[in-house]
Amino acid sequence: MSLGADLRTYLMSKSSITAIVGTRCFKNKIPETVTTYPLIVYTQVSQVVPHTLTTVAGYSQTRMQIDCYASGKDSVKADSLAAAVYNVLAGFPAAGTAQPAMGSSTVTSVVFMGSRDFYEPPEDGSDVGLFRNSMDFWFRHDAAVPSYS
Amino acid sequence: MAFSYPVKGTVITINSTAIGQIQSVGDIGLQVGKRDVTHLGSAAKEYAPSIGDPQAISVSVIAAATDNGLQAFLSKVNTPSTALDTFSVILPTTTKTFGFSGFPSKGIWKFGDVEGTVMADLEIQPSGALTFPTS
Repeated sequence: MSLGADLRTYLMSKSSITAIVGTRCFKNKIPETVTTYPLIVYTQVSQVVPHTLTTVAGYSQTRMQIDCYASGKDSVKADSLAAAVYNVLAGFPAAGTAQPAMGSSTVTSVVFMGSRDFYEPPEDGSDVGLFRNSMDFWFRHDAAVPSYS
Repeated sequence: MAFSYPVKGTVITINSTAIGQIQSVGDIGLQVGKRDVTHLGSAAKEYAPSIGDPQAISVSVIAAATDNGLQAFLSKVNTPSTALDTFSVILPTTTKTFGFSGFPSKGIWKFGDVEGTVMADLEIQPSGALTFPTS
């Protein structure tokens, strides 16, 4: 049901992204131990599972926020990382793909909802904050029907 | 609390085959006609009931080409038959049933914007009396 892990698997399978962030792609927050940038943080903003009169409909509509962070020393990286993420997600899947997969999820549609730029001031008294490009994507993907067991 | 029926779990069948992925069902019942029986001695207009007119039933489903019930329904829309079909609307958990004869009178595939899901709007036209759930 959770798309997040499969989204991470998908992003980490793209060399255009791993060339920039390595494996630094995290859920919800940047771990305290991580001090290397650029990196990606993904957050599930909302998830809607339509129902039929019998049970759930078997698909979900999930809005994900994907934040691309770069060090204030290297602002261009936030834009280039955001562009790389956009390039592998917006409009997914490619036309004619029969069973479009992200990890173990079947994702039938991804719609780019918009993006914003932020600057986060440093917390340590230095001049080096963080540049953040925040994008929202809408996903339509499969959802398991509960077994109630 | 008096007993009440939940909508969730309602099943509709056409010739004993259930239609899958139903999201909503419209009104079921008859509209009774009236006839004017006013006469010269009437102090005001007077009416009496005539026979009932079974109203069309709207059903909204998530369209799935593989669903046997939807296939059966749409085949009758594509090729209407003079023979009436048998419909049941089965209330959940109680097996209380509306039963009637009728025919599929509409089957429209509905698309929408890029975030939408392909739906189908179905309409059933009952013919003759309906059997209502009892007890």
